Amino acid sequence: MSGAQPPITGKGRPRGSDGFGWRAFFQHSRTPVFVVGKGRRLRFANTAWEKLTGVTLAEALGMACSARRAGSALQATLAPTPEAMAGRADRARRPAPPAKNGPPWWDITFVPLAGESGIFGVVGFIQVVGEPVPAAAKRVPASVAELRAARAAHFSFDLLEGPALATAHFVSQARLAAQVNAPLWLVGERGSGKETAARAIHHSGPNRERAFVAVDCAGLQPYLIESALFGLGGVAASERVGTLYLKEPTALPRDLQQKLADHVAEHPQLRLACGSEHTAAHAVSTGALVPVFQTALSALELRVPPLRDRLDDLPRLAARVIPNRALDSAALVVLQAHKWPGNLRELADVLRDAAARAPDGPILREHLPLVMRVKADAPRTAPSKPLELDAILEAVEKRLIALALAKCDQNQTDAAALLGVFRARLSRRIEALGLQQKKPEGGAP
Amino acid sequence: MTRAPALVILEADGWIARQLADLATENAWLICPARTVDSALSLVRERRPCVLFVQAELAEDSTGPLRLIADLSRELPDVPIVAVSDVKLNDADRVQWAAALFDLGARLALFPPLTQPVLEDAASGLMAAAIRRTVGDALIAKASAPKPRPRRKSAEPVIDLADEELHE
Repeated sequence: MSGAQPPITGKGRPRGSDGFGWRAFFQHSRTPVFVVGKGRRLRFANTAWEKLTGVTLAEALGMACSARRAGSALQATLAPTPEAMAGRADRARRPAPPAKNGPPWWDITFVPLAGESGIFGVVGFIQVVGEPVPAAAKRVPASVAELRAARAAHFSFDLLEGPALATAHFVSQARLAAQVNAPLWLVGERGSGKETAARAIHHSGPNRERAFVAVDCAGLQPYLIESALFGLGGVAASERVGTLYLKEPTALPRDLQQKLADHVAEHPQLRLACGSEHTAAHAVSTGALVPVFQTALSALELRVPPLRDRLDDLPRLAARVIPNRALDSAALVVLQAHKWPGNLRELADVLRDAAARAPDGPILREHLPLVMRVKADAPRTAPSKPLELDAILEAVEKRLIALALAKCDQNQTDAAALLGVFRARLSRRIEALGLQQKKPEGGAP
Repeated sequence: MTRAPALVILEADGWIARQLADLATENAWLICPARTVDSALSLVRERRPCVLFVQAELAEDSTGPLRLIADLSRELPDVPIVAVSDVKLNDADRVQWAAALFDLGARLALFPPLTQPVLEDAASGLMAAAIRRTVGDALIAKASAPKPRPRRKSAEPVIDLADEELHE
């Protein structure tokens, strides 16, 4: 480890910078800073970084920062996230190397350096968080960490992506939500995938190395929820928990809602995410939720689109539910004609049933439920006739004038009086409308 | 048609099944004991309201039940999973394991002292939610089924304001 600052060379001064040395700029920072190149090789690290890692820059220069198996824990920890390599600033929480679990953690902010030809490097800023826990408490085996890693890889934004516009809009909002630690409120219909979205945001967010705890507020008795969260050995106060997801928090009694709100206020490192069919504002207005959920605990409100608004995603979703099974184009037409009131849950049920009916080969139209096929075959409602006001008014006027003339024995003066207009106007309208006036039965007009 | 709800229990000694037997009889639920992870998986995949109880051995060398929790919650996220451990742990270890089990997808992690009322409350609450989800979806699907079109009367009179008077 080197305590002395290295001499500033001309390499740290960009062309035309008139003596500005960026290396010296970073050397004075107490925040550990490092720079990796496009190929993920370490190009620079400041003194604070050397102090934190116990490795000198001279030793580490050119080190590949990636999570390859052969690499060291430090290399894996410093690896820029895929988001950063894609050109978006990102933050990751990782166990301080060489430990495989935190705390302490390193919160690393990755800032991409983009040029005209794409990314040419990434700057990383490290912040150390959390105190080390006694070794006796670290009993969770490495195999569980592997299961976690596989799970985290599954719940990525790729899981949510799709060609539908509604999906693209939602995913970009979710990406933004993953950048911050603000409380999250997910609104969406039943079965639309709110919890999956919350998990994906968690696994891409700054708390990704910590646990995601989902609580079914409607499915568990309040005392069980309170015991699991706040009881002896409850997880709520644990440094291990990164996101607490409440499924339908309106089902909780108000005192427990308030207790949760107070707890989240006291533990800013814990992210609260709620999933509901209604907005927090609606739930508060109906008295089902304490007001703090609307004011402080739904800072980000994301609307998960229903499946009927993202029918373009159907082939992709089907491939996920029944992998290695093709979907016939006629079957796809039937699926696209359905309104999907039960959303993704209903889709999964339908596709699994269809797959069970046809153990081999592609899913055909006849493997889908009859009711869906009938509905898809039903002719669409004919487009309504255009309502052309002028033509309608003209027809009505014609009929009324003809009626008045018939009643008055083709006498225009009487007909005008009956219609409440001057005779001259009636004559003009008869001419304009091309009405053929009949001769009066009694003689001259 | 929805099939009878089932409590699928993956355990070695049948203790959890015995604790939940009365509740299952009262509500006409099935108790489906499973000895292996594969049999538990196949039981849970049957389309019926279902709650899975897994006896989680919290040890380095036995990750089967934990893998089941992780895989199942990913594949069938609507099946609630209760992880039950019979290992007494200190507070710190208990928090670690509870967080890990929740993170892998368990809806609830129970540790000793385990009592029958707690197991029954967990089973009844989660089963009620599972039934609501299944029956609710069935109702929604029924509501969205095509409705018979109203029959149009053949001799329906056409209202014409002027005709009657025109032909007077």
